[in-house]
Amino acid sequence: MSERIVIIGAGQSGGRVAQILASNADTNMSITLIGSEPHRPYNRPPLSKGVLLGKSGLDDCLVWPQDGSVESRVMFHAGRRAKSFDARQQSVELDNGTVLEYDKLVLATGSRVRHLSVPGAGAEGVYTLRTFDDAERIARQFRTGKRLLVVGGGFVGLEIAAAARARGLETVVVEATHRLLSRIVPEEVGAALARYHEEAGVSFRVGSMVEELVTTSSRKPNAAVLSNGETLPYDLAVVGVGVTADTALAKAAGLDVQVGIRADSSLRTSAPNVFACGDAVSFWHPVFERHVRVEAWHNAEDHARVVADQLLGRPAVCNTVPFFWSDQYDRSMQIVGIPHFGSELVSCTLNDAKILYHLDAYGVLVAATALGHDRVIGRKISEARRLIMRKVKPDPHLMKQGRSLL
Amino acid sequence: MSDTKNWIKALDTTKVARGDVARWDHDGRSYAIFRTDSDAFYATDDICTHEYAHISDGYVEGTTIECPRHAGCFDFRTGQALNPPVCVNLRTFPVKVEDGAIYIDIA
Ligand SMILES: Cc1cc2nc3c(=O)[nH]c(=O)nc-3n(C[C@H](O)[C@H](O)[C@H](O)COP(=O)(O)OP(=O)(O)OC[C@H]3O[C@@H](n4cnc5c(N)ncnc54)[C@H](O)[C@@H]3O)c2cc1C
Ligand code: FES
Repeated sequence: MSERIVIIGAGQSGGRVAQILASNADTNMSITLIGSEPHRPYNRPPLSKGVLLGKSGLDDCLVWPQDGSVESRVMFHAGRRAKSFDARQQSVELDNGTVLEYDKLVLATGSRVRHLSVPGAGAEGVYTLRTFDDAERIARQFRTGKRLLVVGGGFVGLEIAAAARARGLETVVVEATHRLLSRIVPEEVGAALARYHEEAGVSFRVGSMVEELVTTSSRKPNAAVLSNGETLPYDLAVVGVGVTADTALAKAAGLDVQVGIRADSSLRTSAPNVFACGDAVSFWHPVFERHVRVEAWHNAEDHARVVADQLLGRPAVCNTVPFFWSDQYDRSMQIVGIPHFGSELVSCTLNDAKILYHLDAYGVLVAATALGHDRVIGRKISEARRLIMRKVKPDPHLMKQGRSLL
Repeated sequence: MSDTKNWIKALDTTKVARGDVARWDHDGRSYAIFRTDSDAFYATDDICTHEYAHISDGYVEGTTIECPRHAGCFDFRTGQALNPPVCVNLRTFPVKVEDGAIYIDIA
């Protein structure tokens, strides 16, 4: 009898699982992919870069090869939402009432953007950026808008600000905490990043919150009222205040959910025959010996490979060290490992680049954060990845001096 | 056998350490020249096929080069793209070593 695989979520991770199965599974396997967006799976990193600049379209972002080979093998329900699933009956119900039975289920539901909960947050001219359609809408506004307000100084917010400057918009970023990326990167890196953006003409309001978005009598965007009393006029606002794992479906089905969908190091959830991958998962990481949830492109790839391997009958665990990049003007920001598992920082300056090593209480390297040209930081990050994997305690003097650690 | 290749002298072998890579710019293009631990030499295009980076700025391990920007990997002997985000192979070029110099056929 044929084996029925159902994948919920046709983003990067779910799309990649389908692709790997399509090119490796024998014809006995039926592959069904359900995606609430109308598009084929695509990569999100270009959304806040090339797509906003008008340089890339959907075709430049697609996960699958353009030769139709995946489509011919996968039953793809585009624009369909999975409403619920029953882990005991092993079935999924779609929003049009269709019920699909599965032998193995993959949850690849990704992240959901957070919205502001202040008066005016739902008004015209206020956007969030998660999907290709979001990016196109914002890109269109970039053509006519003059003053952009970015709410939230995280990676996505900063990339939007950079794109807006490149398109000539006056740009202000409002950040509630006292510095950029305060939860993610050390102060030195946040400050250096802020300088690059200021050089490009972005202005910042840190330590202030947006309290209200005021519209004109015809409900057009008008101004933001900040907690510091200031009123900032704008005609386009993008809210980038973070994302949360989309766990609604898993929760409703009674799976173990804590921050993300709980999974072991092979990405098996608490329900039999149900795997999970990508942003939505909090999985047991064998290197850190803790659960981790990672919102990053490489993580979604690694997860897809681990899940697909097992569906193809090959045992697999996810032990890759998480890696995140963000392109900031001509510099690159890269993070390898899990910075918040560290309690001590060792900092290294190489030319105008910064590399910060995060050590745990025992001196074991758990992460490295770098900002600078990839020429300078790329090798350091690659080296750090190998050291983290081996749970090494590098010599702080060598780290400080930027010497080889391997 | 006559040598029909169009060899161009690139770098002295001393310019590429064992287990490492060096960049060679010629006629407006960049090439990456690799030397393995066992002293074999290889040459590829130096610009990553994903977005833009000089792969000679990347990390060499065995016969793999990791791009310094988004960590895509290539086998530098064949140019094969090994893991996303790279999916297009790198172009490779024939290499020979003579009298302590590396020659590349860039035709
Ligand atoms: C603007 C932007 C820029 C980014 N830049 C970078 C970067 O530079 N570097 C980096 O490392 N990472 C970056 N990321 C993060 C990266 O894109 C994500 O980590 C990655 O997309 C996660 O993949 P995923 O498949 O888990 O989730 P997603 O790609 O979010 O896919 C999940 C899909 O599931 C669908 N879905 C959810 N529930 C259901 C349901 N019930 N039924 C059907 N479908 C459902 C959703 O609609 C969505 O299409 C960026 C993200 C964004 C938004
Ligand atoms: S530029 Fe090389 S992997 Fe992206």
